[in-house]
Amino acid sequence: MAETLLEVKDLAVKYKTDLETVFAVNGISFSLNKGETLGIVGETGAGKTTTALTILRLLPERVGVVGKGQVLFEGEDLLALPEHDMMKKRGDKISMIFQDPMTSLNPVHTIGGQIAEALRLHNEKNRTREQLEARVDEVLEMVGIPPSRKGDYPHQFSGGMKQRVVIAMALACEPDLLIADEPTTALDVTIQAQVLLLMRELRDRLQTAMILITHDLGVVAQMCDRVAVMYAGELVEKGTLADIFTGARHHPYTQGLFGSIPKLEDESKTLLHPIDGLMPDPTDLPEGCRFLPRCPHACEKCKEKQEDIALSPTHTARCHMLERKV
Amino acid sequence: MIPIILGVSVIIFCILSVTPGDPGTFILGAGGTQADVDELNRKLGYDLPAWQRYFKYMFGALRLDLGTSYMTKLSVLDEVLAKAPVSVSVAFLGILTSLVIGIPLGVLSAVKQYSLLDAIPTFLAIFLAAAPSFWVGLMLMVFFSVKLGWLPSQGITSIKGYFMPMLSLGLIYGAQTLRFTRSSMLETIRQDYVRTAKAKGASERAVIWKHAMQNALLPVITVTGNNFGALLGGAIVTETLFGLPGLGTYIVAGIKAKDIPVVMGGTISLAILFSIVMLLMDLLYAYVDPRIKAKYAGNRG
Amino acid sequence: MEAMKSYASDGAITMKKPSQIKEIWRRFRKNKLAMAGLIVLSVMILAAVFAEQIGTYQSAIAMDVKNKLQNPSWQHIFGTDGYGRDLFIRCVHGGRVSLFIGFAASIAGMLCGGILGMISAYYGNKFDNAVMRTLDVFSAIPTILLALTLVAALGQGIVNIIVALVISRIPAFARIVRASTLGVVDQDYIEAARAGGTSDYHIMLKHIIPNIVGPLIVQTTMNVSSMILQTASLSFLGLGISAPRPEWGALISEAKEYIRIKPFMILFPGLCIILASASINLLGDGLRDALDPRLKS
Repeated sequence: MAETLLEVKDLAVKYKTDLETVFAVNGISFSLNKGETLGIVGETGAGKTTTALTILRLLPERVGVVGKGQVLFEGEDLLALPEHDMMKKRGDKISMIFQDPMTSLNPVHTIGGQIAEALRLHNEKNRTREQLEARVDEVLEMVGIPPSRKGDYPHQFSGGMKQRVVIAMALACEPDLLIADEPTTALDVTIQAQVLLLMRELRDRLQTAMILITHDLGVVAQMCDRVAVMYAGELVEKGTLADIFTGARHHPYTQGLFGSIPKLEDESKTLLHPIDGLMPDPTDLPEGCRFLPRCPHACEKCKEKQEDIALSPTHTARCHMLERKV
Repeated sequence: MIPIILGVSVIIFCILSVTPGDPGTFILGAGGTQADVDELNRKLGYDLPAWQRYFKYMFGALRLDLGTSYMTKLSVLDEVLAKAPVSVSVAFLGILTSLVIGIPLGVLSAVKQYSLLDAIPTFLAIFLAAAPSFWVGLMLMVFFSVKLGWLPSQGITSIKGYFMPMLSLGLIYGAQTLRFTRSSMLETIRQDYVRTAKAKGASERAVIWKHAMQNALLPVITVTGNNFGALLGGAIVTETLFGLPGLGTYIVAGIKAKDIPVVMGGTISLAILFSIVMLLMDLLYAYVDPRIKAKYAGNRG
Repeated sequence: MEAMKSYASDGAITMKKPSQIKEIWRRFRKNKLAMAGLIVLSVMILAAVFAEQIGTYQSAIAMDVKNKLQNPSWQHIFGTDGYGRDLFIRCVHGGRVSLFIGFAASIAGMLCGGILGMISAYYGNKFDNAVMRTLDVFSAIPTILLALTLVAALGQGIVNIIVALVISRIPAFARIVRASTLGVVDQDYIEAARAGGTSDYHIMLKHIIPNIVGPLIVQTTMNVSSMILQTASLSFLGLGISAPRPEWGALISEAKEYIRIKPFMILFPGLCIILASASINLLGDGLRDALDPRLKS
């Protein structure tokens, strides 16, 4: 029986600087069950990272402002928690790993020390020093790094190994939810495969729920149970993996995304179909469908505010044209 | 290090050789006849061509004989050895004070950016960084010596004599340190690994003290090292102002009096001290930054 | 003709189109501190230019002993000095000298040191090594000492002081320009230009200089304030501008004598120095932020 772990309701986030206001996230809702992996797909600038940072309340101070919405984790609204309580959840219940392993680790601390810090910060079991160290060894082995290297510094590791350390750090306290923001984008393809395999194994072993943010549909296919497609701060399509990858009807943007991928089996030398145009300026978003300027099927009704249309019990898309009866 | 010292000696000597006038005329002034002046010059070895004088001096220096002052007839080496400790103390205390003032305030203003605790130190730093060292020294003198009468305005007859020189250097270079620490902290706080630390659940304080500061201070150390030359310059002027018997006052007096052995000997000693300090700074930096430590360890291993 | 807009390794935008200059100015305008610096500096420059109108040079140096050591009043805003001369007028004329020397020495130093640094970085190898070693030697001597020695050798006077300051600053300028040039010289478009047969001179003029001009302007500006401070120190030590021409550092030196009875005589010239120096520093900071906003977060 699937249990809801995380529920995001109508979340809106903006960045306010002296020059302008950027509407990064504009009313998104989704939910995640225990042990499930949700993939959030979209181009750079769609608002994926902002969403992730908002869940952990790591938005830049003063500049990042939550406009409205709730983030319910195990029933509690994270956005309403006092900072002190939020701090306790970070790293312990919810962990996050970031895109660039080269800069995610503190250059002047040993990797063993950085992992140990994660454990020490959430030491409810009151482990002793030896116990903590033993756990660090355990965790390092789990990600495939010999524990003998725990006294080494980040610059002594390659990119792929650094990312393993980051994963180790994130999973050390066995969180219920792991948010991974483009974890393999900065890595070579072969290393990427290794790291993804590792993440799958660990996820299965620890039964961790995961939000995987990526722009790579291949990664989504390997890792995710459910998928949400993000565009200009909105979730334009949501569904299971099968719905999105093999379903018949999609939001025009999703179609565009899949159309941009070269297909291995396609013998006929068809050209790639990139989507014309660029994402709209996030400081100046229209009221209606944000994909309108680039959509081949645009019509007058698109200029109105769009609603989610249910294509199946598990599959929704935000395009009124899909409302036709099948 | 050696080539630098040699280079310094060459440069200073060349400049001094361009100086119009000779020691004979200077010392005897109007009172001597041309014959007397020539005689004195010959005695002082001034009749030889410039390059010969240079080598003669440098060979002497190798034997630790820095010549005798034209003016005082005292051994330059003796004088230098007596005065160097004073200059070293003043410079060292100055650096220490500047770090003690600059780093905590710099961290504070970075952490409390946009608040009053940022505005006030930054304003003071801008003000002091633009002030000449001798002016700050004089203002301190007005306050402590004239108005309060607590401290002696000249000399170092007691420990009290070090206080104002130390403070005036500390305030000025502390201001620069403050601004630099502030910008370094601000930049460090924006780094990815700070975000990672927060994502682990570290508190604001832990993030600042354990993660940000260590990284932010590395460039501060480098900058302090680079600034040492400027600090030394400031120390020289400060010494002169407070009448401290250090190398600075010695060399400046020598320059004014066109006392070549004094200037040569003094500057060479200063260059040696400077090089030693730079070496120490490099070692310190290597010790503190594991990336550099590894480079050195790797070369040996 | 579309102006070339290329990015150097540190991201500085080059070849400023007119609209880019407007953009830079807009960014600069937003920085209140920098604007304050610009305004204050402009006022001081105006005062320096119109010094004669504010108070004649003669009145700045003519002695009037019966008026000596007056406290600040409406007639004498800063009071009078030991010879009865109006301190405010002396400060204004002193500003003329200081600002002139500051700008002249900084620009000259940038030209000499800059060309040296650029050539050194461009041609590299043994020449570069030799130049760097020589610069290291110069850096081991505190600037003030070098300047002092040079002034003692060359004699006092405005021109000699400028020469002394320029020579003592060439190493610093050369270093900075060299570093900036090194950042540019490895870029592919330089390779391409060389492969296309462009002469070295042309490359330096058309490709390298535009890409490093931003940091150079900032450095030249910042250096004006240190030149002013150096001049003041030289005069204070007695080897700067010679009497009777007033100069801020010299005014402070004169005021030393009266420290016990009239400390404000030290205060005012010092404030002039601080005002000039601080406004230039703020201006320089503002320029730096405006030319490359990515450096600021």
